[in-house]
Amino acid sequence: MAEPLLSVRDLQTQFNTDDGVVTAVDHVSFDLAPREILGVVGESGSGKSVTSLSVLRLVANPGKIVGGQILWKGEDLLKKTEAQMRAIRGDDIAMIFQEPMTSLNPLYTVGNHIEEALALHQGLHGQAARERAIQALEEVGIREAPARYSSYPHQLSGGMRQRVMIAVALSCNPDLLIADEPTTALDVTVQARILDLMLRLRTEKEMAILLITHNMGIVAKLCDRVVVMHRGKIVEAATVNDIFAQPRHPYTRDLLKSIPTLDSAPKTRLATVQWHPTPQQDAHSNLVEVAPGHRVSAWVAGG
Amino acid sequence: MSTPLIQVTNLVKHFSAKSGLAGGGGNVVKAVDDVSFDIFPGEVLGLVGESGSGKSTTGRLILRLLEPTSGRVTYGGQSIFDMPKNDLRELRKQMQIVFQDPYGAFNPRMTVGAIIGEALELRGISGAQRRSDTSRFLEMVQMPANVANRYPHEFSGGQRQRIGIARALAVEPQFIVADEPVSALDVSTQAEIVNLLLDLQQRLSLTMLFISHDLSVVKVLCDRVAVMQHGKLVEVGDSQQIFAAPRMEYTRELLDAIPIPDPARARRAA
Ligand SMILES: Nc1ncnc2c1ncn2[C@@H]1O[C@H](COP(=O)(O)OP(=O)(O)O)[C@@H](O)[C@H]1O
Ligand SMILES: Nc1ncnc2c1ncn2[C@@H]1O[C@H](COP(=O)(O)OP(=O)(O)O)[C@@H](O)[C@H]1O
Ligand SMILES: [Mg+2]
Ligand SMILES: [Mg+2]
Repeated sequence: MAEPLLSVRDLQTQFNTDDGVVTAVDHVSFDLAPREILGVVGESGSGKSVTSLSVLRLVANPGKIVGGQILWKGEDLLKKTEAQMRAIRGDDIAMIFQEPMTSLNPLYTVGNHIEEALALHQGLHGQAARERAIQALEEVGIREAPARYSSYPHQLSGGMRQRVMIAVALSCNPDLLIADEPTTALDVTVQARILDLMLRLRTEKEMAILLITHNMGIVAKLCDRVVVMHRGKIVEAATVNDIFAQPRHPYTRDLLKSIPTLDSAPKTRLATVQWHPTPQQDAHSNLVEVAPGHRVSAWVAGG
Repeated sequence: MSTPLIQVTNLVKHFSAKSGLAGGGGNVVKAVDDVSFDIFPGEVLGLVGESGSGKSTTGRLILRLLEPTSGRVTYGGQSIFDMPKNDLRELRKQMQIVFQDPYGAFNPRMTVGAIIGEALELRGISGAQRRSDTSRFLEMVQMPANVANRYPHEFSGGQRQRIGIARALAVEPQFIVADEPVSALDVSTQAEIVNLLLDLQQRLSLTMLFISHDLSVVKVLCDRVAVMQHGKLVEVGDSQQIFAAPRMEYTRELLDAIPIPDPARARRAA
């Protein structure tokens, strides 16, 4: 296997709250190869967003990374200075979120957003920056890019704003794009186009993607590998084919069975998630490899 | 064939898009544009379409939470837009709505018991009867009676949706508009609420307008499906037929856009 681009080792992120310490990310380890799309799935509150924010060291107070390593091309990001991290964010690793409106400045035009990123990371200004910005908009499938360049975020539809966010994120040719529920707020038809765009850009830009989603349909369409999270822990990790064809963990199995699909029987109850860990299972939740590239909680593997 | 409980005829609702660069000044949004369909007693009609297609506006018009620009809605043969205030009050007891995020519809200072109690009061139920009925409706949505003393913010999204459903049921309605009731929920919670709605609808023979943009959920719950696009009704039909062989290209597009949770098929489609 190729040298991983990103290797998260034993990551622990905690929040200090009035009710005590909450471990949002609990000894999480995974690798991401260059050009690979890794899906992170799990129900809300399972620690997906905090994991991805931890990779960029963007966890806000009262959250704190308390242990582990985040190896980016072999170097531990937890040992970098804040100035070094600023250079890595956007330039090497870019991130997009569910609701683009919250990360776009309403007073900036679409062009301003991209040019700011280009100036910061690539030292591009003036006409060169403008041309590169328009090119970035064209790459994400925005029609009439020169006209859209001068639009403000509120003048765009939700799907168009998400494309702009992707254009901003990709303008500096990052090696990794972290996408946190990028299509959850969009209609299925718009979602389908954004997913196709992400697949195309992965190939064209030779970029890896860490894709956070709770939609198993999106995982099936986009991802090479998947990690399943439950209460801050990874419970199973495997290739996308193995996760769907041979899920080993009861939580993964329950999750897969509970999804309504176009093949679901009409007027028939859906399966629900039944598994809840016993203290005994919790104590043996470290991952062990059960097949090449397929890891699952030790108690499931019977080890 | 039975008589429809609800008949929607040439329903129109225009909004004036007053301000904002996005809308363009002075334009009219044809949110619902000449829509006609029937809902039969005891059936679940799915209303699907992309956001902005006019689904919620249609639901709110049928409950007369909005006044139409033109058109007619009858409930049990009575025209709801011509009804005097007193009759409308009676009618309101037969129709309820369940929202995507019920939290916004709850008074945060009221306990769960007070929220359900208020609905019971509409039927003139008070005192000891009110307490026992509150427990009964909580039990119906599989929540323990002691949650009556707690506040909505103490509950998760799925539990709040159960409370919202209990409040709607407490009025003992015949007809419920459920506007994206599971759209904000995780798959596992979504499955639980879908099952609850299925059970209750069958047990209480409820008539339901189920608004959703998720066609997979609609397939599980609905007898018939109506598809909206840009305020117009594109297609209405039997659920089996719509899913097996949609007549309209737009319905096909909506179905094809759904990512299939099966890697082999999802990739072939791509
Ligand atoms: N600001 C915060 N304060 C306290 N706890 C938090 C905060 N943000 C996240 N958490 C905790 O971290 C857990 C994981 O959150 P998150 O990563 O956002 O979940 P997901 O993205 O999977 O829905 C939550 O269950 C919560 O307990
Ligand atoms: N109160 C309102 N004022 C102005 N426009 C509205 C109002 N309510 C809805 N609309 C517009 O009507 C159209 C249909 O909206 P809606 O019924 O909410 O669609 P859906 O529920 O299918 O997403 C949209 O273009 C929306 O912006
Ligand atoms: Mg999240
Ligand atoms: Mg709506």
